[in-house]
Amino acid sequence: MSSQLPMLLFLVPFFTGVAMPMLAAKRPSLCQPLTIGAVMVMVVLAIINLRVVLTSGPIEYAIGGWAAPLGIAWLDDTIAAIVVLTVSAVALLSLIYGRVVVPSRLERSISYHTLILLLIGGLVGLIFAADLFNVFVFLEVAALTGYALVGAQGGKASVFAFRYLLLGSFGATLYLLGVAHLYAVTGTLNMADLATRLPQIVTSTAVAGGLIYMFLGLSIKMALVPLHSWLPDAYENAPEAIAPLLASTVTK
Amino acid sequence: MVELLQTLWQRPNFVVFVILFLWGFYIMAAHPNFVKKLIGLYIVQTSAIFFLVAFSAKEDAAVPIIVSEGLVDAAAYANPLPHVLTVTAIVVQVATLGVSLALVSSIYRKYRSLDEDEVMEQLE
Repeated sequence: MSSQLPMLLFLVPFFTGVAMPMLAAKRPSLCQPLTIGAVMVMVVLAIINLRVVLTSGPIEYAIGGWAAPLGIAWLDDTIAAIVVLTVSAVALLSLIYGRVVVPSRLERSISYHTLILLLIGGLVGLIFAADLFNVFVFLEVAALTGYALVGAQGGKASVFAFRYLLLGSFGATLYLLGVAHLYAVTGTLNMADLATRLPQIVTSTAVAGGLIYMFLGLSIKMALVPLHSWLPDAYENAPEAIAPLLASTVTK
Repeated sequence: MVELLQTLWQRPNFVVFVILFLWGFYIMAAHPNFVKKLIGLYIVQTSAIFFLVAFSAKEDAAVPIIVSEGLVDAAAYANPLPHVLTVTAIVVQVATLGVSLALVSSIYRKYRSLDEDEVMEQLE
């Protein structure tokens, strides 16, 4: 069981989010307890995961049975376990805070809670990913749900969510361009593999260009100073229940 | 200078990629209409995918499906990994398009206009 923990940590929020329309369609007041329950289960699993990783070393989870470097692998090491625990705990706290401040229209909205759970699931995938392209996919999952959540209240928030979407997607495209450059030079996307190969070739223009594109793309998403203009508007107009979750997890 | 022009001339695919990327970025930045900005974003994403396809092109490459048993010469087949990256990026594009069009329709419902300048005026 303990070797399946990374996938379990991802599946709990993801499956609950995807199944939420089925589970809560008849009784919309179930949405919030379901979300908070799923994140509580995640916190417990994250604590167990941290204990397992600290005692018996990193868990390398090969998806589909194909081991790295041919297949996509998830690496569950100490840092990843700590970050997953942090993200789950922060998500739980901001959801509990959300119970107090969420407007009643959103409280019973199935899509709102589904988006929150998909966001958390995407973040967990991002933490465990050990492959550059896997990072891109989960980055986009988390980002797209973030754009939709920022614009959830409608009206003024939608305009700034749209601007956030434009800049965030542009950043993700730059990141993809960087990954493509690195793949073109080294032929591998596995982070561990790249770490051994990059130091020798880092002076070539293609590799330098790739790294710069990745850095630019990620700094747009992280709102690093020259590229931060979307941040104040988006967070000022986001629903108050979402702003803490987004600020602490997605942007960082 | 002449060598630079010669290298550019020998790599038309990458020149096209650069032109598409910059043109799409210009459309995203300069046009006030929200839907046109979206089209610009789509062109930028497509140019990144085009770059992926451009460097993975191979002359006289066979489709990467093995139909006979035994040893195969890997160099004769096209590399399937960039194809996978391309398809995934296209899926991400479609999802982005969905979310962005939902946001644009929400903006239109509230402000009755798709022009950024008009909407910003109404927001003041």
